[in-house]
Amino acid sequence: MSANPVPPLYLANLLALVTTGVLACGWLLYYTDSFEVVGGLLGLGGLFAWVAFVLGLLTDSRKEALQTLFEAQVLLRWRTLLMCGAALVGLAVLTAMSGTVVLDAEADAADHMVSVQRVGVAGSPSESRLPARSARRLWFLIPPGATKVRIKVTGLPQLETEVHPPFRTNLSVPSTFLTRPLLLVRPGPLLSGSFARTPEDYDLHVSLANRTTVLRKYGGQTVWIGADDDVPIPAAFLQRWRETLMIATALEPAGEGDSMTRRQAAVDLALARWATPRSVFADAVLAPGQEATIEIRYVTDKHVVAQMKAVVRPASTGDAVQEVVLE
Amino acid sequence: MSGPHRPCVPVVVAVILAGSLLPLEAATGPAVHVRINVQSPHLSQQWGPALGSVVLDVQRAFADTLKDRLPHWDFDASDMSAVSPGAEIALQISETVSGSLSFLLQLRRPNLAVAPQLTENWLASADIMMRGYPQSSSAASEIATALKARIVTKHEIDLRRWLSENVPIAIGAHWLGQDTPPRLVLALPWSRYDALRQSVFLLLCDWPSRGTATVESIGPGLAAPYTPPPPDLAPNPPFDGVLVIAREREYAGQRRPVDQLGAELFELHPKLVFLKEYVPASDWNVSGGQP
Repeated sequence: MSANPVPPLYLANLLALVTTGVLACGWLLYYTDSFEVVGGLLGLGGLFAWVAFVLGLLTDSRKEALQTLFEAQVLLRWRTLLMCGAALVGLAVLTAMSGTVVLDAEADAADHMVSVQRVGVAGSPSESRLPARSARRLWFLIPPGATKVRIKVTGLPQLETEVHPPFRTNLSVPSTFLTRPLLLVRPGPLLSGSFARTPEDYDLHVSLANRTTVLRKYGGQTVWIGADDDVPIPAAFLQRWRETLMIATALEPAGEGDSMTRRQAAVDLALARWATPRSVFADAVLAPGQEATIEIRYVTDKHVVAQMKAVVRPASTGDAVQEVVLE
Repeated sequence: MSGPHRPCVPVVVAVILAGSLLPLEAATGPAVHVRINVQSPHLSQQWGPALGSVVLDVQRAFADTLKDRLPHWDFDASDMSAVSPGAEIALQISETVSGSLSFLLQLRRPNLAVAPQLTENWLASADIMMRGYPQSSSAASEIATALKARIVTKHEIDLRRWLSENVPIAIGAHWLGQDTPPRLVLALPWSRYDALRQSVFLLLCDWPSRGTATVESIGPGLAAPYTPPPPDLAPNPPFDGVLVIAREREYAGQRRPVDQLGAELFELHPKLVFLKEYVPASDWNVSGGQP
């Protein structure tokens, strides 16, 4: 039994092509969400389905002729080996400059929009969708060293994280985003009622780390410090506030024109104000021990109607939100 | 808020002192000071520097309301810093633990250890949750409206009784001769006080070498010339005052009809006039004469 010996160049090119293809697919799989698309194309699916159909119309002899031509022009040429080598070197360089943030929302039942921006780099952030119970890989081409990116997932506080090439940074949605301390300012129910009556009369001043910001037309809402206003108030907080208010109003002696319905309406109104937060210093990363000063001032004469100083506590699991009550 | 209708002597002295400070035109009794005190940290913070002006405005509005409902007494809302030497209506706006706001009204007079008081809710915490605290710009009118409804209208009878017992409506009266029945004319200008023409008055009198006595008298519905005591009160021309007829004297706890007293009655020098019982026009005796 005799066989045509396979030329070493043929074997080398075949090995180089396989290696290059596998590594390229591996790169796509590791760093990006594109492998499904690329893999589908390579399997002549999707966009290339027509190609598969047309090729299926060819006779076997023609196919063999084309394969022979491929062997002669690709597998038996030195340039193939060189090109594969160059591609591998390019892939290695690209890998050395690649970093990926993996957003794992497998445990999250809500859809989100994701906005990502490199810290210190001008330009608008890139936005994409993060469906419920899915994962998303966000690839960054990074100069040597690490880079810091700011990630905003709707409904969650912003997060800044470092990305180190060639590694991936895994972030769980929402748990990873809820691990840093946040301050939640809440005016007492009576003050809140006053602010809501004429919001144009009140400004909320917040000083944090030698910076001061003013929230105009403050209407008695809750205010996040260190989170955006799209971050919902934790349900446990709302429940606790409701129970506290119901008890407080129920214990008060009944007055003229008073009724439980009226008291319930008052509680609902206060809770509705508190459930729609506003935000200051949304991008601030609060550090334990840091002090924040909150003041509500009357617009016309600037007198302080309510004030509070809060010292940021270390965040523990499930306790990242620190409530600051203005009475 | 009820008590024996007999002004005590220290009160009388204080009231006379207060009355002596009044302008001469006011031959009538001393004004009752109206004082507002805000004991609510939330309201104080809410109003800030405007607190003082809000309080003054509320005092004035409250005094006007009292004057409107109880026109026979004068109410003064002007001086709030000094301690009042006379009668005082002190209103405290206070805050409960739950945050609701209430009115505490105290009726004070000198040398009275326990002042009668009224308490009324103003704003429940549910009200404040829904509408907020009154703004400084509108607080005076809002509080005045609430005071009118919850204090003055609701407790008008109690207030009137307390004023009748503690605050004279006039300083001064004198006998009109020594005829029978014994008549006096009060230092109450008929032009302003004709509505009291058939009311019952209590006159606190000096009785030289005996102390003080009171004379109960009733108006027959007539006016008579009143001559202010000379000379220290001049210029103070005579005017038509309310005429009354004495009917009973009380001295040392004993009450006696005046027709049993003879000339002794005229030894009394009336000083202060208290309105013991207001008789409205609807209850006037039709035979009551016109001036």
